[in-house]
Formats: sequence, C-alpha cells, structure tokens
Amino acid sequence: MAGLQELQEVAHPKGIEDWMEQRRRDVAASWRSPAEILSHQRPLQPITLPRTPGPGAPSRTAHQSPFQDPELVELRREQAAFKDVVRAESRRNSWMAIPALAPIAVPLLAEGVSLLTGRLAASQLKRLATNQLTQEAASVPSPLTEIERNVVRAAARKRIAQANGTPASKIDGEVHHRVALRFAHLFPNADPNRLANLIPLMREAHLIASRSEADFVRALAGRTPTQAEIVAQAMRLDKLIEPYVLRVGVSRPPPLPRK
Amino acid sequence: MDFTVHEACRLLEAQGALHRRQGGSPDGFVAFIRALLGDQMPADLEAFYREGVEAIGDFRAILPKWNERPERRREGMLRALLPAQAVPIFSDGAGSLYGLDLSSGAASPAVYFFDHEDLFERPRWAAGSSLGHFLLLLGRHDQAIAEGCPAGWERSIDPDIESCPRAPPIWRAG
Repeated sequence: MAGLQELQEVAHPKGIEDWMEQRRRDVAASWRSPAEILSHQRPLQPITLPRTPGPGAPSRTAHQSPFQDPELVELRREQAAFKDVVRAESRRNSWMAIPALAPIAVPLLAEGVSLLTGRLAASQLKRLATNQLTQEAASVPSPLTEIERNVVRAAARKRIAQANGTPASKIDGEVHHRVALRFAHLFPNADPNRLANLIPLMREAHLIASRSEADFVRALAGRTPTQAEIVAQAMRLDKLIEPYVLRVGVSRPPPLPRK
Repeated sequence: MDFTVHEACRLLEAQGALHRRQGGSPDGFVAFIRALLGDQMPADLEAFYREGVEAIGDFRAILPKWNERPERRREGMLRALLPAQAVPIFSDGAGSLYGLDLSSGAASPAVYFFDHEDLFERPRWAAGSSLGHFLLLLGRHDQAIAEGCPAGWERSIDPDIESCPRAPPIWRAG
C-alpha cells in the first residue's frame, strides 16, 4: 500500500481530492451557456445573389452595375491591353511555328496527298472497271455464223474419222455434238470439236437428241443458259442416247423402241 | 452453165467422189418413193434416184430401205422434211439435211440446208439453185473448206444460188 501512495503522490502531488476540486473549478469557470456562445459569434452576413429584375422591380441603374466599379473597370482595361499585346506578339512570332510544326505537318500533308491520290485512283479504277465490264459485255462472242458452223461440222466429221479410223457415215452414223453448236459461243475457251464433245450416233437417235435439245431451248424462253445448264442438259441426253452410240468393231445397237 | 443431174453425176464419178449403190431395180425403187411422197416428185429427183447415188464424199444420200419384198421396205428419213415442203436427199454427216424443195412445183427446184437444231422446220440457207448444181457443190464442199476458199466460192459453180426463193446463200444467212 505504501508503494501505491507513493505513486499517487508522484502523479498528483497535492492528493487526488485536491486535483479533482481544482478540475471542477476550471470547468465551472470555462462553462458558458448557449446564449453566451451565440452572443459571442459574429453575425452572419446576408448573401446577395444577382437577380433578374421582375416586371415590377426597378431596373438596374448604371450606378448599381458592378462593372462600373472604377477598380474593376481599370482591371478590365489592363486585361484588354495585355491581350492586345499578346496577340500582336503572337502574330509577329508566328513564323516560329513553321519549324516547330513541320515534323507533324509533313506526314499529315503526305497523308492528305495520298488520300487525295487514292480517291482519284479509286475513281479511275472504278471507271476502268466499268469500261472493262462494258468491253467484256461487248466482247461476249456472238453465236457461230452459218459459215462457221459449216466449217465446224466438216472438221467434226474428219476428227471422228481420224479417231475411229473410219468415217461415221461408213457405219451409218452421224456426228453428234454433245454441246450443240448453237451454244458453242458460250464456251469460248473450248474447242467445239474436242473428242469429248463428239459422238458417232445412229441417225434416228440423233433425232431424239435434236428434239430433246429443242425442248431445252423452248424451256429457256429466250434466256441465255449458263454453262452448267448446258452441260447438265448434255449429261441428261447422254443417258438417253447411250445405247445408240456407234462404236467401230462393235455390233450395231438395238433398234429404237417403237412409239 | 446448167448441169443436169446426170451430167453432174458423171462428172463426180469421174473425179472419184461419187459412190453408187449396188443392184436393185430403179423402176421399183422410184415407184416406192413416189408412193411415199404422194406423187410429189420433181423430174430432177426422179433422175437422182435413177442414178443410184449412195454417197458423195462423206455425204450419204438419204434413201429408203429398198427390198423386193414390200414388208421389208423401210421409208427411213424420206418424209422427215415434208412439213417443210422438201424431200431430204443428203445428210451433212452431223444430223442436218439437204432437202429438195417441193413448194415451187418446178421440175428443177432448188436445194436447201435444214438444220437439225431447228427440227427441220425451215430452210436455213440455199445449197444449190438446182439439184445438178448442188451435187457439184457438195463434191467440192470439203475441199473448198480445206483450201480456205473465201465466202461465196459457190458462185463460181452455181451463179444462180443467190436467187433461191426460200432462203439466202450461206454467206448471207448470218
């Protein structure tokens, strides 16, 4: 216990009761009522906002305008004069911007030129493409003339004779063009007398082929067929006439079925 | 110069271009054809059948199958061009036909080309102003193409080919 009293005396040399009494007096001395606090505060300044005058309110007069404050007017005048000086200096030194902006301006200028050139080139290309289309439309080969057909037919007879070792006429046959000569111009890169397009055929079967082709043309109703349509028609026809294809050294095909 | 069928056949035979069929009676054969055509037989056509022409070069004549026994006779393609008022006389070897015109009723009518792509409905071009001229042109046909003769070479053999009434000559047919 002696140790505890020593500690209390060190912390509060006059005793705990004395210290508490002293504290109570300090608080009582510093205590103020709310009214006293309010009375010691500075009064609030009213805030005046600029208002648009109402219809009945008196208009703002010149002496009431804040811009008429001599200090403010002087300030504004000095600011305007400073701006004028800055503008004049900028104009005078504007040439200095050229070397400064050149690294940026050069690529921009180049891009602009290329863009312009590109647009011109695009329009030229478009025009060229249109011209090419027109030329291609104009260069679509026209159907074979009668003289050309005559020459092609004569060449077909010779080619079959060469391939088979004997003319088709010797085996009572005729040369059939799988893709008819009326469509030969639609295959401009193909030889109408290629061996794959020539078949030695019985005359009666050739009539069947002719009728089938006539039906095909009638179904087109004046439309130009595609290559795929023509080849599909030829393949359909192959199935019809296959039994009547003449081959050298092979006995004659069976007679055509009667109607 | 006019060529009769007989003269043309003699000329072509001398050139080795004409082949005749063997055997058979021309009278019976002509009578059979006359019956098939309904008595529409121009004099040139009868002369042609009496000559017994089977082929000129690669071009084979269109003939009915003749047999002494009537049940074995076959008309073949003989009436294929009757709707177009013509009688087929030669095949072009590629499905089309050369036909003698029957519409004029002349003794020596013109010969026309009928394309199988048209189903023989109309003559495409004139192949000879008469059968005699046509036979000569047919005998020269392949050689003229091989030699690359210019369009209209036919006029040197058949000067009247452009006056055929039903179709123009080949170089004007488009």
